[in-house]
Amino acid sequence: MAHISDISIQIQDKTYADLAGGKDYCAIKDFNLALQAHEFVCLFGHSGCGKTSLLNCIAGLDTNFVGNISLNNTNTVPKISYIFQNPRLLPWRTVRENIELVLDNVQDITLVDNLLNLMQLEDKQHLYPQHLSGGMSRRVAIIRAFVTNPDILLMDEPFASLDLRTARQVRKLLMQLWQNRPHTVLFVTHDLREAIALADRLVFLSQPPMQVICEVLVPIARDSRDDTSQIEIFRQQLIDNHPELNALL
Amino acid sequence: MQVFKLSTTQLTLLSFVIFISFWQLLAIYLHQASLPSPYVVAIILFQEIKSGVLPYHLGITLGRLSISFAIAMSFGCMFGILLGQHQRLDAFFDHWLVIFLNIPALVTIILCYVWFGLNETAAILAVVINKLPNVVVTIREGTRALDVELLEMARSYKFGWRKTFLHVIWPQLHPFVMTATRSGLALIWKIILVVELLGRSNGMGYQLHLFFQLFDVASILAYTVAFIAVIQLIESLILKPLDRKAQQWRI
Repeated sequence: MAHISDISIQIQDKTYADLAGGKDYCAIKDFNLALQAHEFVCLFGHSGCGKTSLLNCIAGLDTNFVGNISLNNTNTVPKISYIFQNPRLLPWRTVRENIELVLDNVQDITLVDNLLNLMQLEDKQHLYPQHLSGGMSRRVAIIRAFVTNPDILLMDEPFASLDLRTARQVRKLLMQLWQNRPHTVLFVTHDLREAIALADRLVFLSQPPMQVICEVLVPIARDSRDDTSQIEIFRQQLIDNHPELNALL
Repeated sequence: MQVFKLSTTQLTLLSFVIFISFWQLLAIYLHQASLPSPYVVAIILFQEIKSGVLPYHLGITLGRLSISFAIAMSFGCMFGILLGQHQRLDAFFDHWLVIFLNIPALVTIILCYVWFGLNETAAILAVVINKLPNVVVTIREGTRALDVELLEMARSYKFGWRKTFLHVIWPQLHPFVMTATRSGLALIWKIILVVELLGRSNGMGYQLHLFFQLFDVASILAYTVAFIAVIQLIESLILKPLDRKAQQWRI
């Protein structure tokens, strides 16, 4: 199975050229991150610090950078799924068709059924995206990402534009799905509570040029993550124990 | 008012009946050979169909239309997508497009006949050259308007060129292709008639030229009616169902 592999992300330099002739903009510099198999890692940083640029480089949408994304320290390019800030579903394809489109073979059709069932969307599978709520569209995007069995799953603030209640519901379903199929996840967020609730490890990022400030393991057991008081306590510990994160938290 | 309660079909029928009645009244009032009544035109139309002359010439013209339309649409879509995706290529060819868009159809037709002779290739080429720039411009605009986020999604999931084109690009281009198709059909019809009138010995244009020389207005109108009927059939039997199928998701 491909998704049991470790992934190494090394970006020495990601610079945007200023086409107007001004100064070039360095978004990422000497960024190194190793992801272990099945690990859920949250990237936490300010708006505009380069998180989306990083995900675009990892996903292969931006190839104009100096660095390397590798699988098990080999030259193999990892199989990647990307959940964007908005779901990016094809409006002319039904829910089911949107999911099946990313599949290479028909054998995975039963998997689609399972995932639709798990995400409580089996009765919506023949609807077009315009008939779905924001939360449902996010769930479809999550299924589409999981169904390909990726080595790494990139999530770029997927719940950012949802109201608190819907975001909580979708987050819960995501965790159920992930515990069922624990892929390696790189999750970008602004919300520290969300990051603590989801992650095995938190990676704090600096202002551009983006680098890793520090990494912290989340010691809260998975089955206790619904307990907001534990999350609050850990959040306070983070603030107290990591003065270097003051500007960020 | 009662007329506002009619269905769309009833309204269309009523509009058609009023048009024919107006034509009939005008023909009776003028009482001249230059405006025959709808009845006379209908009789001639029937006779021409029965004799096989009209179907023959209509078939020839439709054949030319199909070939030139297919060529213009295929190459037009291809170039339009290329120019829409590559800014530098677009900058290079933009002036060429403007030139070809502004050359009068008649000039292209004459030049094609002069350069390639009075033959079928020249006739079809003349039509294609006239239509191609319109298709290119329409499809180029459609390609420029493609949703970049959906294209990124396709790239991130490694769709490949064929899947991306069929499932992501083509559905977005569909309204532009339909616009090019409809305007193309209307334009090509008109150009083909001139092409046939100037340099062919068959087809609707040739026949119309013949009737013009004989000052046979009734036959001109009969052929025009046949012409319009065919275009309407293409619209309602091919284009509209295609459009309905492609736009199903919007309902």
